[in-house]
Amino acid sequence: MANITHFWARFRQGQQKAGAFENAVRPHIRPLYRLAVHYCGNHHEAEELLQELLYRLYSRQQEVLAVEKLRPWLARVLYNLFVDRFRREQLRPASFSEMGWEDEGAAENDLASLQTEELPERDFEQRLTREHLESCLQRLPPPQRLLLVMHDVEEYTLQELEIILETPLGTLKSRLHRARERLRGILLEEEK
Amino acid sequence: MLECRHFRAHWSRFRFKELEEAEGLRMRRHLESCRRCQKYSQQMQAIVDCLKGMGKAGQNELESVRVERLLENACQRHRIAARGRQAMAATLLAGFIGGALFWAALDEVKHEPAYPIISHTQTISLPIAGVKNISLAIDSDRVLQEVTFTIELPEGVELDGYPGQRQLSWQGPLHAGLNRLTLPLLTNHQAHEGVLKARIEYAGGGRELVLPLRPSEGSAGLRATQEILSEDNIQAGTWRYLS
Repeated sequence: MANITHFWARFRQGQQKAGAFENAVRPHIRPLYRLAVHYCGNHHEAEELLQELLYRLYSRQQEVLAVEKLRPWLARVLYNLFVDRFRREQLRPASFSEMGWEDEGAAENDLASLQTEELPERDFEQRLTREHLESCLQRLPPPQRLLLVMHDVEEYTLQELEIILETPLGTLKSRLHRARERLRGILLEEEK
Repeated sequence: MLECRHFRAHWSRFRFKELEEAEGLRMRRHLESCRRCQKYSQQMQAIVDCLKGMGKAGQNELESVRVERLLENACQRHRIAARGRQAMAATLLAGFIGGALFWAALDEVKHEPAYPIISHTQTISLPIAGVKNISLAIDSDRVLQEVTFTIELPEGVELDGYPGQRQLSWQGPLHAGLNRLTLPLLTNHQAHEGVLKARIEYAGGGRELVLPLRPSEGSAGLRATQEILSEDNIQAGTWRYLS
């Protein structure tokens, strides 16, 4: 009888743990989904990515419950999952985080950086709709797109991004600026 | 005066007030004086604002039902995978136990001789520090060539003329009918109670006779037991203890 009681207590404990895990993760699902849409570029793949993430988290329940800052931690796991998928699909051995930063240090020579005069500012701002910006965002190299989305759209702080992307603060700042400049360049190209 | 290039390279840091005061002031002055950089600044600001607005626009939102479904699906998948792992572990365990049992059984089979062992129920007494002949009979219904004879002796007992050898083996034929084997057993003071094993092995079979021996002080020796052999029970290589 003692064994049965013990077994039952363990079963109940497991159920309670699962409940605590779901309560901890639930508030982050929507922001993670938004991130996933930006990562993947469509809702279907985003949902698949998120589903995979949640499935993996279920086997790491204790770890999840022990994490102090869950928001950047979850974003990091999602990011890594996306990068893994991206690499698999692209079959590219190169480091994902290095991609799209090849022009680092050369941003000041970016053609777009000095293209301003040709268009009246009102045109630029009027044409800057959400949909237009969204489609231009998709033309950015993935690392630049993800960084912009995480910081400017989803408002992850630079300190959080340091954890998520494992990149020093200074590098993040300059990369963010370059990503904005590049996006501007793409927008100006579209205007022409 | 700051160049436009420099201003644009540091625009984000200027916008988000990350520059030192003096540098920030220089940037501001340049901005006020340069129309091109004013336009640039407005465009960049418009992009930043629009990106921020994307996050607040409420698109890409997931309904509550779908949030719950995602959690539910993940939980179910996790349970199925866990059950699968348990099943796999159980299969492996069962396989391991089965394998262990199989090997144990195989081991038994390996150690089990392929021929019958006849154990003599009566213990034979041997005199300590003396030689005693014991006679064994091997019955055979036919002639057998190349039979291997083996004698194993307990500690403290040896065959007279073969000092220190507790196992002797030789080959020879077995005649049809009664074959007598006389063993001169020599015991010493280290002799303990034990068994003598006499074995014959031939193509297709073998026989073994186990004789319990006990050294005894002042024993008069072995009492001869004459076995009556009947024609009916003679088989190939049957051991008998005669005397």
